[in-house]
Amino acid sequence: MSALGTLALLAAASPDLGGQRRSAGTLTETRPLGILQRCPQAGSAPAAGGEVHIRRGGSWEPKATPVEVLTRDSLRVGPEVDARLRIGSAGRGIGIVFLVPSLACHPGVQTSTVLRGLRLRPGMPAEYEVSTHTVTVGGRREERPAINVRRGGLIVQWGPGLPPLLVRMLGDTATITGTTVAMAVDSTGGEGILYLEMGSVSLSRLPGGAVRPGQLLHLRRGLPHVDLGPDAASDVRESVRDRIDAVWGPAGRPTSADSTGREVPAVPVESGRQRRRVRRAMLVGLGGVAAGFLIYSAWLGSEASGEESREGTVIIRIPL
Amino acid sequence: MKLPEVSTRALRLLVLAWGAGLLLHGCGDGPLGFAMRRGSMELDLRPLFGRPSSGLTVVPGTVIDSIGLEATPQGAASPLVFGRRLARGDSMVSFGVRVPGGRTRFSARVLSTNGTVLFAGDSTARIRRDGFLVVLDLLPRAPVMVVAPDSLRLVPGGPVRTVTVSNRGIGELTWRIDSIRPSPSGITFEGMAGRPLAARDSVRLVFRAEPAAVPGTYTAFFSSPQGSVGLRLDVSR
Repeated sequence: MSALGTLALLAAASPDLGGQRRSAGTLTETRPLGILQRCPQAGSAPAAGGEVHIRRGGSWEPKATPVEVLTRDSLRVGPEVDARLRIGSAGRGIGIVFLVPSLACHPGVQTSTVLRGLRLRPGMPAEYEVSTHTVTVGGRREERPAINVRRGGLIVQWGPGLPPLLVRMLGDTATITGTTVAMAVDSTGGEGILYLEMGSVSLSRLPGGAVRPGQLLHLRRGLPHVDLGPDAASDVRESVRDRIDAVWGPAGRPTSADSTGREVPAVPVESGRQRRRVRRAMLVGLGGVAAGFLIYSAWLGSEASGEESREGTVIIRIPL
Repeated sequence: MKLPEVSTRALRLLVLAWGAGLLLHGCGDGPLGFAMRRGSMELDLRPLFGRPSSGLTVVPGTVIDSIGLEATPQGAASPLVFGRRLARGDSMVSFGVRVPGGRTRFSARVLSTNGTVLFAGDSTARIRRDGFLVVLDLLPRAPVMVVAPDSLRLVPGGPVRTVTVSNRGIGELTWRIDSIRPSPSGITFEGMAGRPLAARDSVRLVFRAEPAAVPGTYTAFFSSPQGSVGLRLDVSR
């Protein structure tokens, strides 16, 4: 998608604020992470009061998976689980969104130094809002899924046949059309990173619009994005791959849908070397499903922090 | 002379604020030995920039665009980065931060509208407790064009209004007035426009609206290699 096309698309987009709530997807399952306290920067995890909560206009209500999610629902996922959100249908394809509250820290996985540097705090629930956007493309109105990340992590597997997924964060909008991306934000909620491994992601505030494959961007609310370079990008990529494998295993791999809407692996998966070959081939060229990881964490609020973490103020004086 | 008076007021306010902080919270962390147990303190010095004139609050227009702060805990591979845009006249900014205990290096940069580093500074503090306070004084790194006030009200055929262009940075400031838009405006100016300014030097310009000037809002664009400033000109009868 060209930059111009992306900008025009976003300019034409309008949130679906009115009308009837429709199904936006299904939260299919949750997976426990293990013992968060083993993470180097884990704090005293506050009681999450359940794994998944949904607010549908009123108060937060605990939900057991699987549960249907409607447009304009707010989702809260506890800090010690990942949740799996299924979007789409048999006719239009299946997109998978992993809701990841504690992305930056996972037992048994070497956490990226970049993510640790951004000081993502495990031990806090994540919050998201799912919705749709109606966009006008070539005079025709199309409805597209959208996710607003208030805080927490997000991992997306998005097929190229699906309508583009819009993810809003840090005052910017990412348009995902089949890709591998990593994203994270620091504890003040004003900083973040975006990593693109393959495919296509457009950022509305990025000059030129398109993120290059292999590029790791430092996102700052209200400031220009900065390229952090290939070493940091590699660091983040390895961390994200290891983590998704450790938590989700085969379920973390891209899926498609059969004629009944049942999810099936996009490529038959074997073990060992064959599995690696299949995965590589799947990533490189089969084109059935492009894999996308979109990771985003925006840690807000003033909940309990780690024992070694200190909160204070920096005052900067400019000699005007 | 007004400048010393302004400086005295600023110093008095600063001393009072720091004194209050010391009395309430005692000494502790921070490069200056100040600490606060909780919350943050933010001083707004915008009123000290000048006097009310022509019914408008005097706020300078500057080439300043944004500020970035990096906090690097000892041993950390990468810094924590914070940033925000600055409003016109902002001379003091506070960030609420959360860092690991121990020694942390704080560094900040102020960028211009075209990305030039205008001010920079750093400081290292030992963080021991919540509510710490670190004060970072920046130093100029480039010429900084300041146009004060940032807006004028003109009456066609009426009295002239004065604008001061100054260099609040280091080195020599080269600048010019590119244009007044929309054109024709019927607005003229006099003075040594474009005279290079050494550090802390300034020049005064007078603007007037000709009798035939059409009421409306115009902008005079001042440019320098470090960025540009727009002076708002409101012409009304």
